[in-house]
Amino acid sequence: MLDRGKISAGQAGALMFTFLEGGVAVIVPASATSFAKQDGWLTIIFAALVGIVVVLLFTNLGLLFPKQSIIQYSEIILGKWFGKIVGLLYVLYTFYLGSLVIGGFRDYVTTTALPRTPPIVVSGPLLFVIAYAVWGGIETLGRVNQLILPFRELIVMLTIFLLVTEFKWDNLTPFMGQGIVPVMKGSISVASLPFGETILFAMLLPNISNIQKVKRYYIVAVVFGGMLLTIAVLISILVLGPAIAARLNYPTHEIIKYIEKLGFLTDMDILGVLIWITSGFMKIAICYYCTVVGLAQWCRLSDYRSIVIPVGILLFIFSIVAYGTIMDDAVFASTIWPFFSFPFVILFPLLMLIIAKIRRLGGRKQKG
Amino acid sequence: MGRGFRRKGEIEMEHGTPPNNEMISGKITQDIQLLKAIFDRSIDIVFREFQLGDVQTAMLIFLDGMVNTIIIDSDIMRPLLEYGETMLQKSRLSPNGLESLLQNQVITAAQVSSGERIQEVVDHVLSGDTVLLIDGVNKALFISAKGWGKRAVEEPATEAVIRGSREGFTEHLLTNITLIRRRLRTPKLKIEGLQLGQLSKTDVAIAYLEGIADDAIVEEVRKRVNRIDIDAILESGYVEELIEDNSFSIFPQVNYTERPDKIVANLLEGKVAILVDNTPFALIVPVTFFEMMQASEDYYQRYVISTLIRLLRYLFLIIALLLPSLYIALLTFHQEMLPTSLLLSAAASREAVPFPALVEALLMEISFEALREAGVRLPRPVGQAVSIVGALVIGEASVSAGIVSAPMVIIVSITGIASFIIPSYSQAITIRLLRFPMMFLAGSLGLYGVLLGVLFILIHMTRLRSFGVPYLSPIAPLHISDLKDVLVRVPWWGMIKRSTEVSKNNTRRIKGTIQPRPPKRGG
Repeated sequence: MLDRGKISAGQAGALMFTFLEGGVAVIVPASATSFAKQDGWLTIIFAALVGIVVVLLFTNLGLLFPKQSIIQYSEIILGKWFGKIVGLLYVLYTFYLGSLVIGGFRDYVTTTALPRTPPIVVSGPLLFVIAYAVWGGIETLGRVNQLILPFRELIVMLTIFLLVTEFKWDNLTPFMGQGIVPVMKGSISVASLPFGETILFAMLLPNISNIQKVKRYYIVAVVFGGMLLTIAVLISILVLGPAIAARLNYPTHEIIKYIEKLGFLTDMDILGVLIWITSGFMKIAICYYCTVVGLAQWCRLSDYRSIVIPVGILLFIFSIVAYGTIMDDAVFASTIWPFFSFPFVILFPLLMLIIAKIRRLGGRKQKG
Repeated sequence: MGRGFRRKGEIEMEHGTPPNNEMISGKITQDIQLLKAIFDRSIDIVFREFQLGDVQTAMLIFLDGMVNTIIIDSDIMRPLLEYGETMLQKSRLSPNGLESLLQNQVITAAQVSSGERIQEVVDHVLSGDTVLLIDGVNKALFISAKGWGKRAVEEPATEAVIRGSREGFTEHLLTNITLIRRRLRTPKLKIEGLQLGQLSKTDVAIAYLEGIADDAIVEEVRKRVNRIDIDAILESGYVEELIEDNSFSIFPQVNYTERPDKIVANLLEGKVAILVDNTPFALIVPVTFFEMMQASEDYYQRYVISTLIRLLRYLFLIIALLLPSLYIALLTFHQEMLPTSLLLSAAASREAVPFPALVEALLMEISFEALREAGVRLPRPVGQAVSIVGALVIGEASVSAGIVSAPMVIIVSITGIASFIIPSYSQAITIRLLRFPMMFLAGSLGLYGVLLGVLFILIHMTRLRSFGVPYLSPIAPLHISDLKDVLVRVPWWGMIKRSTEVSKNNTRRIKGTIQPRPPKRGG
């Protein structure tokens, strides 16, 4: 194992929850409401069910090889050459995902908080701090997340509480006005975007100390993450109405502006940046970490730390190249990304699981 | 990485002094000549020659000022002169030597030992012992009659309390050990001694409770302290810097205190204390970030009060770290967050100020730090004058002259007070220092920069360890049962277990439930 650090299944679950929360600000609310309008929140519930399937798939696969990551056991299952190719594809998938998330958050910060700052000045320091966390390994990521998570959720709950008076319940009707089809279309997009991405957590399995409990924690994380996303979209619709929520780039950010309490709590939307950046930070950090460790495993390096900085520079550059504008990304996320990510999220794990079962591979089977 | 700094070749200190591997010859004139050559040009060395009986010459050697002359008079010289003659005759018949007869039957001082090498003589003289040499005997007697000017046990100056013991450590190691021992009357309290510093030969003691402290941590402390090879240890700060885990971190990874009750409380939690002679500050390892936010009084006050005060401390920790940078960020980037009336008054007061908020804050913060430092170093009466001039005159004048704005003076004052609320001085100074990079981040990237700075600090802290214990435990990694003594302080009857990270083998501190309750009626 490259990173000797160990995290508990609870910490891994908390990381996954934060990872899903990273989608609250960017893309997800827009893509959820763009298809299904006032039923946008419903799409997330369906998508979360897909997320649970994904988690079950990769944890069942991973538990066959509890000491190895998906990059390593793909070689065992699929044979040297084909396994190497799949492993490399996974590394590139995490890398691509990482650069897209960086691009998304870079744009988010520049448009909402620092309009006159050059985008690379925003993403550069962010990546520097993340690189420092990745250098510390999975233990550091798990602990930092554990430290920030309660405070962030506290602020989120407070924000929701302050917004209650702004709710307009009529915004939710008509329920399923256009039938089930738009909801399903939205679900496919949302399922691939935050929930399918949880496949990255297959990389963390070998670092979890009580691996037997991990399936439960991962599912709990998906359930709670789904709940949070549902609530976020629901509140956006309740406050802004489906038409505006679908049109805005960052509806979950804009709703915070609606808080006007006690005469001085006004225009708090910058707080939104702070909340969502901490979760986006962890999301980027996990993508970054998985890319680095995956690449190190794929190249059979003895230490992953030597490639932290090179990969970070590549991520920095690629995030400029890969991510155009928020409009490009929204179209990309709803039309191309579901089909692009399908093999990584469902096809390859399913294939590997079937082959592993047929060939009777994996630690548990050999014992029995 | 830090290893390269620890030892740069062997230290050449023996240079110039004669080799002292020689044994005591037994011919007193020869030995005295050698010793006089060693203690050449030292006015405080005393060679007291006298006759044991009629023929035997003897010599007492000691350092004037480091011995108690009353003990030398009554317990050494007088018996020697009185019984010397008889012992001399006895020794001719007895198989034991003269020196053991003197040691066992004549000298009434409590601690006496003997040795055969010149180097031992030198070491004992320098540590304050009185050395007896006798002509014809190739052994020296080392008689303990130490006595030098000592400061009395006083109230600790840096850690004052309203409720709690008023005793503080002194510069004398044995006094400090006594203060600990008096609070822990158990043989399980182990105090291991060693000497550090090739020239200073400073006594250092490692104290811990056997069975409660984790053996691995005790062994690690022993290893790290023994590795120290330096010319002198003048203060426990030397030891602290030489044993800490990450010497490039700005955060203190070793706690220190001059309160014996605090040391004992930490020993009871399974910590290891390191006491150093000549300083009232004893070290405590391992330590976590949250322990440095606790004062000993938290455990003496009632728990509700302690909890509230603790929460207040955390609030002001955040203020001490972030208030100036938040102010800069709000005024420079996010004016819309301020309520309109407040924004207007802030803008009005800043109208005459020629500097951007960052420069203004830096000016004030740096001059505040300078004032504080001046106040510490100056003699007390002058220090007061400095603070009056600094705080009142300069503050008032700079506002009316339009160099800084009035809100900034408020911000800087609150920040200054906030930094003094942190109980551990080394922690407080760390937070004060970190304020400056945060201000630069706020001035360049606004609240986003502040957030990145905070994240960086948090990541750094999660990566730190103090003797293997994670710096941010018990929050990250989370130990739910240890949260009873972090943000809150539960009542004493709830402190059932010790911290899991520190005390691994023996965690229970309370047997059964001892929650007080009124007697049952009619029972």
